[in-house]
Amino acid sequence: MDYRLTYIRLGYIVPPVARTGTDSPLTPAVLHILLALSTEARHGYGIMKQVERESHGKVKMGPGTLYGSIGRMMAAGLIRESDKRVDPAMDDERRIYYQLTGLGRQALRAELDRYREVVAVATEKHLTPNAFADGI
Amino acid sequence: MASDRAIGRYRRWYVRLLRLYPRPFRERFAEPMAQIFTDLARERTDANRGLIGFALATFAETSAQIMRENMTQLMQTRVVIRWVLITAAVLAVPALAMAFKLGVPDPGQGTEGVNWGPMDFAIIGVLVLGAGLLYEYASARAGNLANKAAVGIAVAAGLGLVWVNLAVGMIGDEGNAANLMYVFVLLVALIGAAIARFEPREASIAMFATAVAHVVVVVIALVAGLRPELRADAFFIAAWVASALLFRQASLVSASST
Repeated sequence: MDYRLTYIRLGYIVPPVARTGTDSPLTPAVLHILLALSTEARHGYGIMKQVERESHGKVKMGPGTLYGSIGRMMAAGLIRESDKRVDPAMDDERRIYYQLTGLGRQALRAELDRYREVVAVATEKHLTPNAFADGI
Repeated sequence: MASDRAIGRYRRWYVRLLRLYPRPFRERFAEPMAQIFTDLARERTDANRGLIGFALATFAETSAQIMRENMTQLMQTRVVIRWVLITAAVLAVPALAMAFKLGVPDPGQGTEGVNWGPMDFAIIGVLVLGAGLLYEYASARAGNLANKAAVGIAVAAGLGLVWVNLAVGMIGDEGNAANLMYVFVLLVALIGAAIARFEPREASIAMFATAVAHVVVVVIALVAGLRPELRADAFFIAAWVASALLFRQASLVSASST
């Protein structure tokens, strides 16, 4: 596994080389940002709103969480600044847009594969939401 | 419009808060973060919702992230390990003195043995480590050498003042309650530094205010006939003033370079 992926999974505090090979998942904020940027480049506010829409309002990030995650993702090479321009749908302020890198796409694909595998196992075990309602 | 004025006011406070981020993060993200804050505030006012709750929640969320980023920076630069080692080295001196029954000269009374209890080690350890990390935190925001030196002198003076008061006392002995007056001096320094947010010009005023507070304490002690240790007081007042002058120098340098 690329050490940068380990790095973004664990944050800065744990030295990445010490945990190389771990299979821990991406943080929810990082995953949602990758998803939001998977279709097009967006500025910070655009990412925030897209995450809110895609999670049906369940994930709301404040500016601190959003830009903390963006900073770590840029350092890990998952996303990069694309350009700075005015968003015609908003005001006339120029905004920095962010886009996925190849490594970011790879991380997103790997994470989604992991989710699919988990769902497949759950399906094999007939673990539907109704099964939990029946007291399993 | 009233709502625009309110948004502008909250944005200014938010921009001040963002100054507490580590410099590299601030330079990269402070502007877009302020932009997003304004966008979210407009969204609230467009929906006829109040701004106070939004502002408090956003300030709290951003403050938590500021702490995280600063901790991250500290851990990244290995300064914590460095200061733990420095603290261990400082604490090793009395520990070795106790182990080998060495003494320290005590004027007029020959030699006095070192006898530290666990609490003494704990307090001095926390003080040295805390002062070291405070220095690293503040100097990471300091742009030039004069600014870093000013921070170093201020932190060392604060540490020294606490240490001397705990060890022997600046007024009478260490058990004399009048020494608590020096807490006022430290509070002026800490509150001043927090308000200044390590900006050199404001920090210079804060350090001058600390020197004045120290002079006030000495004057009160003299008027009350408490016989403070004037040489030690003069040393610390000089340190506060030196720090203030260096901060002032740093502000002039940074003003001329912009």
